[in-house]
Amino acid sequence: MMYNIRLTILIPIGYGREDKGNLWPALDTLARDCPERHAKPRVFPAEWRSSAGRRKTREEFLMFTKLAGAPARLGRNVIGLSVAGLIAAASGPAAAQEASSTIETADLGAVYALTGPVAIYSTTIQNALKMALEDVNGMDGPKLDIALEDDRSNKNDAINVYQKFIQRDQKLLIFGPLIGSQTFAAAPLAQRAGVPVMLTSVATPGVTDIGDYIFRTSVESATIIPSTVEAAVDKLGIETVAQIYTNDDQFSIGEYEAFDGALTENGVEILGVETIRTGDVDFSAQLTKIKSLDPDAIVISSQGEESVGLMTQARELGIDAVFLGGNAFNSSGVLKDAGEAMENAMSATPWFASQENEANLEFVKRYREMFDADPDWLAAQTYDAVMIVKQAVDAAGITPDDGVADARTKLRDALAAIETYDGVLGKIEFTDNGDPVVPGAVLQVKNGKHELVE
Amino acid sequence: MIAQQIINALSQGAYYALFASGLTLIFGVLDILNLAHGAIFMWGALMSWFLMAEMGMGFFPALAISVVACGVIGILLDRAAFKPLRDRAAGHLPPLVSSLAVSFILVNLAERFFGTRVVRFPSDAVPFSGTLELGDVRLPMLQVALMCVSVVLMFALWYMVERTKVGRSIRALQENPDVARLMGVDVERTIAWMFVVASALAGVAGVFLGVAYNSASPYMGHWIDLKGFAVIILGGMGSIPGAVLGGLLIAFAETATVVYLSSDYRDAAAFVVLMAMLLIKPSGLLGSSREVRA
Repeated sequence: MMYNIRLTILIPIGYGREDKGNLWPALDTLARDCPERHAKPRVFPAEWRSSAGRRKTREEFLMFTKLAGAPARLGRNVIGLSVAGLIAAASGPAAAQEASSTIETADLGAVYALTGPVAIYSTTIQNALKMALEDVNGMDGPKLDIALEDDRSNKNDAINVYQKFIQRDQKLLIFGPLIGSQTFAAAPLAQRAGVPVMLTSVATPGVTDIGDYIFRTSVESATIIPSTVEAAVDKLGIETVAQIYTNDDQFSIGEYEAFDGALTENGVEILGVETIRTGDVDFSAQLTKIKSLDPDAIVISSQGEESVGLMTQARELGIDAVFLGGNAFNSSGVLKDAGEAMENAMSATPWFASQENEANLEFVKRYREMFDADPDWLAAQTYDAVMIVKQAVDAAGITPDDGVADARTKLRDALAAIETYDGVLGKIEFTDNGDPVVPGAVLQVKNGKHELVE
Repeated sequence: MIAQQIINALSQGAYYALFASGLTLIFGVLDILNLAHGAIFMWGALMSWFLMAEMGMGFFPALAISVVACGVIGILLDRAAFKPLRDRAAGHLPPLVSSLAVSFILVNLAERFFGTRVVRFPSDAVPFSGTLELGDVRLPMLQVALMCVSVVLMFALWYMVERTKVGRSIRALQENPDVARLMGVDVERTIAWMFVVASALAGVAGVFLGVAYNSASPYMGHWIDLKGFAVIILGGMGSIPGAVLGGLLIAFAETATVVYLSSDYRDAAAFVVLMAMLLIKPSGLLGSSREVRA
């Protein structure tokens, strides 16, 4: 059996100088015996009093390793060496048997695009994390500690942060990343290592199929997009549309496909489909083509920045069709940047600010007080996610003696056991896959503000 | 609709030409691809945004300051990335890599100074905000202004290279640097001038593109770098009229792809044209055979 054990080896300080030749090779051997590459001895001052100057052999070192988890008061003038890593333990789970109370703090990681092209979404997420942590750590039970890192909006950095969280930092759970394409790149690592992942913003279909360690509070666009189309047909009398979407972004493709299905189902004629790529700024050729088709509405499935560009340039070209969109349209940043071009635009949202469930009223009020700004659906999803993780940490009963692998499994099982949660989003029901289902609503832009379509 | 698409392609072509002419100027003389050109273009756009949005300047002062600043960045780029290697006769690859390094530094500095979000220009600071309507065709005045500016700048550039003393030095360097030096051409001075002119052109393109599409971010240089290389290879490495022709051709190829094929293949179009060119005439449309070895 493999156990993930953190070893602390204590060595008298007087030993280090003259007997270096003896000490360090022994440590190197020890480090080599640890199967994980990153298991490197580290020197740090520890408190331990012992008969300084005694010669130590490798066998004695290994004996010391058995002292792991026994941090007795040992004195001063000592250098401690810590070796962290996977040690193959031949005997039974000796250390884990002394299970006592639960851990005091659960170390969690979060990775979001704090910089880069999709960073437009992450401000409210950061705020919600901050606010939720404050609330959670005022409650009884284990505290949560969330280390937030930036993946600069790209896949490779998301993977790097994931690896750091999984291996070096030994986090129990990871929040994020922000978007689907990053998740498909990074989350399989967590699944393989048995680390639970909580996604709070990914609305791309299929991410929870990565495995049973992947959870989310972010509502899949496909489940709410049909209501946008229905409202557009009912309220606006839309009969024909042209679609335009970002064809190198999984999230946008997912929304495009959901729209495609819903439009056909509602008997709306699709006159044409155009594509753009992430980071494009000139859409005049595609929009001119759409203009010649003269559709009632243009369906945009894109991330925020491209959506803004598409809407403003369409108006410049004299297109007056109404816009229908996905999640990007719900962002307050997009609404502000697109300005007048976005008037009358419709989109479905898993959450809206004036929702009247109690948790939401409190959430919106406190968010406004703390950050002097309005929350958006991502903030709501993130806040609920932290609360759900807290509930799971409480239920999991992780003890200080649990190895990190055990602790992660316990946390996963506790998360999987949560079937419904009554939070800011309203009553969330989780499918067997871990996907949330919420009531949701359709919003329309009126005078530069999102308004609820009844 | 076709008329509108031709206008779209023309204005897109104007950006490509403006951007690529600086790139081709540097390539023609130094035989190196300057990978930091897109980063300077980006600095032009972001700096003008900063001056307009944060300092409350008008468009023209902001344009002037940004373009001059880009010229200065150009000299610094040469001093930091190219001159030390040139002095050591380091060949072709090291300058390419060091210009890539400078481009990363410039992007990171921009992230630091301007933030990483896509920024929007204040609407009141932008001139030529009207739109010309000719029947069904809509022509934003800003695009018209850019096309005029492009034509004037391209002509000025051509005039500089063909008719002035600096231009003669540049052409001499293009022909043979060693002989040029022996004939009394101040090589370093000429190269410094060239970087100023090339970078200032990138700056102009950056400011206009940022304002026209109302968007600028530290990452905007990436895509235009690639297009720029395609343009100068197509037009003929080192040829300024070639950069104009190449820019227009690629813009038209892209637009035609959207109109007649599918927007899925828009980016591929530029490179298909490029490959075809390399098969038929490797030196590019207007390139001399000297550049074949590149």
